[in-house]
Amino acid sequence: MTDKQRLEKFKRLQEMINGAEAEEFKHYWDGRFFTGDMTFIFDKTPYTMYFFKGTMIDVEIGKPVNGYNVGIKGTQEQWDDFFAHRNFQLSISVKHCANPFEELGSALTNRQNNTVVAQVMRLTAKAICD
Amino acid sequence: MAITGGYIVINGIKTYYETNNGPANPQGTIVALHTAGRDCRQYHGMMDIWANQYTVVALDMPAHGKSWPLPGNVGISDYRQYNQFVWDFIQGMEIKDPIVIGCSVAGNMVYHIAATYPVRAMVAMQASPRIKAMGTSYGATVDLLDHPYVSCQHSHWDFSESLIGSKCPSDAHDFIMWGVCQECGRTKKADLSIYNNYDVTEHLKNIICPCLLIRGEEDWNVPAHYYETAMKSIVNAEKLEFQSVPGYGHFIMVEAPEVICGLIDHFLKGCD
Repeated sequence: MTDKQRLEKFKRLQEMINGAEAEEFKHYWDGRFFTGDMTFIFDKTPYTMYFFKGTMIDVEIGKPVNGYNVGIKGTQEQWDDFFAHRNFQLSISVKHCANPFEELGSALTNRQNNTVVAQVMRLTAKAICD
Repeated sequence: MAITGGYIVINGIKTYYETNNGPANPQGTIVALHTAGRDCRQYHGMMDIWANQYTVVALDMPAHGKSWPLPGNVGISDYRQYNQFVWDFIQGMEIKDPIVIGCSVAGNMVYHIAATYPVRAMVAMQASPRIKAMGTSYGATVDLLDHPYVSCQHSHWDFSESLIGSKCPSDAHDFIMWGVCQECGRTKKADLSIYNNYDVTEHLKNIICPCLLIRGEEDWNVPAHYYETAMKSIVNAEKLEFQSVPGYGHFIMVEAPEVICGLIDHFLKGCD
C-alpha cells in the first residue's frame, strides 16, 4: 500500500468516526472529550488526524506543527501484527509484547487519552483491513 | 439465606466483609479475595451458587469498597503486609479451615499466603507467583493512576474492557465495567505496586496444601506461561491441578461463577 493509498483509508476512517461509529466512539470510548491531534506513524510516514470534541475535522500526511500531542509510531510489521490481533493494550505493553509500539507525546497525555486512542486504533484497523 | 455484610476491626482498620451465610462444609470455608481496585461484590455470583453448599466470606481489602484505608488514606503497597492482613482477618473471623481463593493481584498473593500460613487449600485465578519489574516507563504509568490530571476510571476503561472474555454474559460485563467506574486511583496504584516486582517463587516449596490454579484463556494479561513457574515450583503440595477455561478472561469469577464453582467443588471433593 502506498502512502497516498493509506491516506485514502484514513479518509474512510474519518467517515466512520463521524458517521456510523460516532455514537459509540463519542459516548462509550470517551471520544467526545477529545479535541486536538492524534498521529499514527507507519514506518516513516506520519498521518495526523485533527479532532474537535470527537469529530474528526481533517487528516493529512505530516507532523503536527506544534509537535506530537498523542499517537502511535510503529513499523509496517508492528502495524500488521496489531491488525491481526487488534488488541491495543497488548500492542503497547512492554510486559507482554516483544516489539511494542512507541507512544508519541507525553506519558501524561497518553495516559489521559488511552481509551480514545485505543478505539481510534481499532477503527483504523477496520478502515484499512476490512 | 441472602448475602449479608458486616464490619470487623482488623489491625485497627474497619474492614467490610460479606458472607452468603452458607452451611459449614467439611471441605472448609471459602475466603475470597478481589482483584486490584475492586471489592468483594465480585464474589456475589459464587456466593449465590454456593448458598446451600459452602460458607463463603469475602472482604474488601483496606481502601477498597466499604473498608477504611490505612492511616494517611492509602492502601497496602507491600505484599507481606497484604497477606498478613488477610491472615489476621481469617483469625479475627475465627475461620478455622480457610480455603483461600483470589484473582489477579489477589491470586498472586494466594501463593504466598498458602506458603506462609496454614490454609486448608488455595485457589489462584489469573495469577502468577512472579511478575517482574518493567522498568521506569511502567512505574510512571502506575504513578499516573493517582495523578491529579488523570481520571483513573476513564484512562483504565479500555484496559479492563480488553481483559474480558468473549463468553462473558452482558450483565457480568456491565458489572465489571461498573467496577472501573468506581475505582480509586490511589487504591489502584497501591495494588499495582504490589502486582509488579512480585516474586515469591522461592516460597512455593513451602506450600503443602491442595492447590488449584485456574486460567481464563482469553486473558492476554495473564498468558499461559505465567503458570509454568508455579507448576514447576510447587513440589510439596498435597495436590496440584491446573485448569484452563476457554472463552473467559481476567475477571473469571465474575464472568463465569458457575464454571469456577464447579471446578473448585470438584477439586475439593477430590482432596478427600
